[in-house]
Amino acid sequence: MPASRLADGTRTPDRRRRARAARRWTLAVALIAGGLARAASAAELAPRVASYTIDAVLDPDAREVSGTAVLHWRNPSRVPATELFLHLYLNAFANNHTSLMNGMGEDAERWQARYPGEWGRIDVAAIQIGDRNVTGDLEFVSPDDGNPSDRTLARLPLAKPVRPGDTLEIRFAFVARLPRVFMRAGHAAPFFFVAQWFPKIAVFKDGQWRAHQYHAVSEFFADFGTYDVTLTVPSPYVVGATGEIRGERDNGDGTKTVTVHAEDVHDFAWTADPRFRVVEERIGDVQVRLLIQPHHLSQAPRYLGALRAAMTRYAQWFGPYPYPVLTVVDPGPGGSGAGGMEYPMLITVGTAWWMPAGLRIPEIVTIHEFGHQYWYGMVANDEVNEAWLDEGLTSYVEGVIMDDTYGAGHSYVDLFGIGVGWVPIERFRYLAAGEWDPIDKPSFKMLDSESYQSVVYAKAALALRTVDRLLGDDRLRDALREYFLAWRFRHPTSRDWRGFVDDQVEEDLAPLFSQLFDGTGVLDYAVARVDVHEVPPLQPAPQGEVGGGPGGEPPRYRTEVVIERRGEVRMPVDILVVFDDGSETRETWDGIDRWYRIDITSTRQAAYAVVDPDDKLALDVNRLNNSRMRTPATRGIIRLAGRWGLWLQGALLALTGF
Amino acid sequence: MVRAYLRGARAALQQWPLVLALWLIIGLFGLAFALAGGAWLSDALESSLATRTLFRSLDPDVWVDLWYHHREGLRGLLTVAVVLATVHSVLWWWLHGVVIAALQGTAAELGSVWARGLRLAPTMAALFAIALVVLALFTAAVASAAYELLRWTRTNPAPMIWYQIGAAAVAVWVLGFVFLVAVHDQARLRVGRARRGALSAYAWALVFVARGGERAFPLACALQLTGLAVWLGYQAIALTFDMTALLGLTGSFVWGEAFLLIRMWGRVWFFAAQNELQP
Repeated sequence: MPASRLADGTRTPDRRRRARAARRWTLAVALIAGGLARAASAAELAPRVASYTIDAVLDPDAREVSGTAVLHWRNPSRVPATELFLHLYLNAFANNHTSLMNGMGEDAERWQARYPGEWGRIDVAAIQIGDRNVTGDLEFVSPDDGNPSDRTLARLPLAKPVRPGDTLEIRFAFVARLPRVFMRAGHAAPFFFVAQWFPKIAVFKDGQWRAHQYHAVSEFFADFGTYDVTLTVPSPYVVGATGEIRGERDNGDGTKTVTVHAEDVHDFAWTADPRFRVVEERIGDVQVRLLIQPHHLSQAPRYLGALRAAMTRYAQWFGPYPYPVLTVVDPGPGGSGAGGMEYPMLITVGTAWWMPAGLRIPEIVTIHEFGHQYWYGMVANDEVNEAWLDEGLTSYVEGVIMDDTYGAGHSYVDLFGIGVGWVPIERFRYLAAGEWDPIDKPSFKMLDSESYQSVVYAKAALALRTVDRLLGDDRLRDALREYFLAWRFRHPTSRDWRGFVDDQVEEDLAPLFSQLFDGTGVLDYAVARVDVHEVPPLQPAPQGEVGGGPGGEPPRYRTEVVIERRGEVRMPVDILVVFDDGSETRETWDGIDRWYRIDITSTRQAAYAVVDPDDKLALDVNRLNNSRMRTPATRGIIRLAGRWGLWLQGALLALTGF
Repeated sequence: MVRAYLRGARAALQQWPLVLALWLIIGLFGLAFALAGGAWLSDALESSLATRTLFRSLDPDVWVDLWYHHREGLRGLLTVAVVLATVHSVLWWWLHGVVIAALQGTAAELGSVWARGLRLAPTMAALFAIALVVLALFTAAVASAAYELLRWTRTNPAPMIWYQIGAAAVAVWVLGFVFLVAVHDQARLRVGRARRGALSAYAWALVFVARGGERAFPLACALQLTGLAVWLGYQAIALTFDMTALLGLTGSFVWGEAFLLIRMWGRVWFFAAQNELQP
């Protein structure tokens, strides 16, 4: 569709062409550079900036992991690094005044009341650079909110700057005390989910540290590298981790040591639980290892079925999953806080023993979290500042896969004859709090977690579905494929995404993207009027003709349909007018003005009009006003109101039973 | 117990004019709520296609929009439901008296049982208040016990233990509820039969049912199970109606009202059967 119809853009065609050409050159140079870099080491998928060798021991009774880590960090920038920033994420659970706890509000208070004293933290006992112990130089900083009680980010000044391309070796000794899990990492012993657990270096990009504290509504951003990790746990524990398990050794003292290796990943998480049952399956070239609780074992086929659907479609639509393994973790009882999360080569899911087949929560979670392997895991944008670029894309594709796999009208719920698909669920989430923040905004600056959930997940996904339906012919999906292939392992920004997609679809989508991602305006088109008036015969009748009327020409009617734009977002909309003889007419309006009128004079009378009859505008905040009948029907109302009357009688009669 | 169960059914059948009248009264409440619901839907849906399509398809998007754009009206509708339920409960202080007067033969004519029921209404109201307090205390006790057990087992790794505690709590509550309903019913009957005050009648009934007097509790369980069986039978048939066709929809309404009539007869039957046990 022509760009001019998408919105009232301000860029001139020449500027657009120049901008597009510049982007193409930049991309071409980047691809060539990336290709040359990869050719130097064919096995490397990603620039290996931060690689760790970690040796860790789990003490289940103390809920602690003690370990040492050796970090090899290469300065990927073009300027020397005079300091390092380290994430110490577990300190978010160290007291009730951390930024994360403040952001969690009542949830955090409930957690503290339920599990008093179950705090978590990370103590960095020693930091060594070369022969120098620099532990004392570590300084906690709170650049986002100045919170002195938050120790999730630390600055480490360097005695000697690290020049561009040089590699620095840093040694850590640390103890990670795991909280009772309520947000991603922790324990519900004997279930342990160990994530964000070691001193994690921040991202140094374009000469700047991209480092933020750990907030209630923000996730992560890290550089790629290799991980060689040995994990020592009590012998009965089953271990799952990011990467391939390369070996398992019995230490003869009631413990065992598991050796894990992962390449081209930007984080490392692991889990241990003696109750895990292991279900393995090969999907394509990937060895899938499902660690599932015994009482959920009957639901293993549900997880694996959803995973097959996701892996097949992602491979087909976007590109291959390049890692050899994928671990799927079903959290233990009380460990649901660890569920529904993504880590490289490892996802956590969740279910309950009573989960009916028609309530597809395990499937949704599995498909969603697997999707993150692509957008979070490989594309790896900054999830703190541009969370939508991962969560929005993942949620959008999740919806497409769910609808494609289980049927659009009942992909989420299919119970007792009631079907609910992806769109109404996402609309429900979006409308809860979708007007407070724009999509493209640092998540920790959003109003609250409700706004974050509504905007970053639901609104972004619905916006993408709307763009998809407007473009048609899978053009958005094709563009996303190219985006994935071009930008994986490269930390793209929202700007990169917009420019790239704009180029791929060869439309000027910038004004549309600006409305959808930068503003808080809503999309709402409505049929305001459907009026029909009989057209009186021409008076006075032309000379030589008898005036119209009974027995003359059939009566003619003027149908007037008025469409209104009630929201701020403008985009082209289709309008359908259906007449009482079943015939229909369609028009497309550019959607820019406040209203649009359709005038039709014929022998037919309009029965009703519908704006967006093909449900392209998933982002429309009110679909009830998308249609209007000349004369409203009553059958639907009688059905529902009658049923409610019966239900009330039943309830009242039940009350008389006491 | 069996004799009371059967004789109660027969006695309730003999009271069919009363059953019919009670059913009509409750029908008025249903009609009022249906009209309120219809008015809200008409206002919210305006002239949209949903006024037609909801007949065949319960489009979830319609519910999303009703929830977010017409919530005030929905709150109003819920208020109507609460008011109707309150008025109905108050009305049944009288109607319970009517049922008992009719069953205990203290008024020969149907016309006069209404007046006799009205005289019993204040005592029925007091009994209702007592029963409500006792039920609230019992519910709080069960919930507290379950909560403490859940707290105690919060870190227990057994995967099913929380479900087991929940199921046990529900089972205990259901049994206790049936017991308290039996006590309340026996107390109401006692008020009619022995002209006792509410507190005295409730205390008497509590002792009567607790001591297993005339197997009052097993009879109450049998009657409740009968009610459950009838409900299951109703649902089994109700599911066969095609709600997307006019005939099916009409049939479903008729069947629904027939079921309510049967339930109303059941309510009288419960009283009649338990009345058989009263000394």
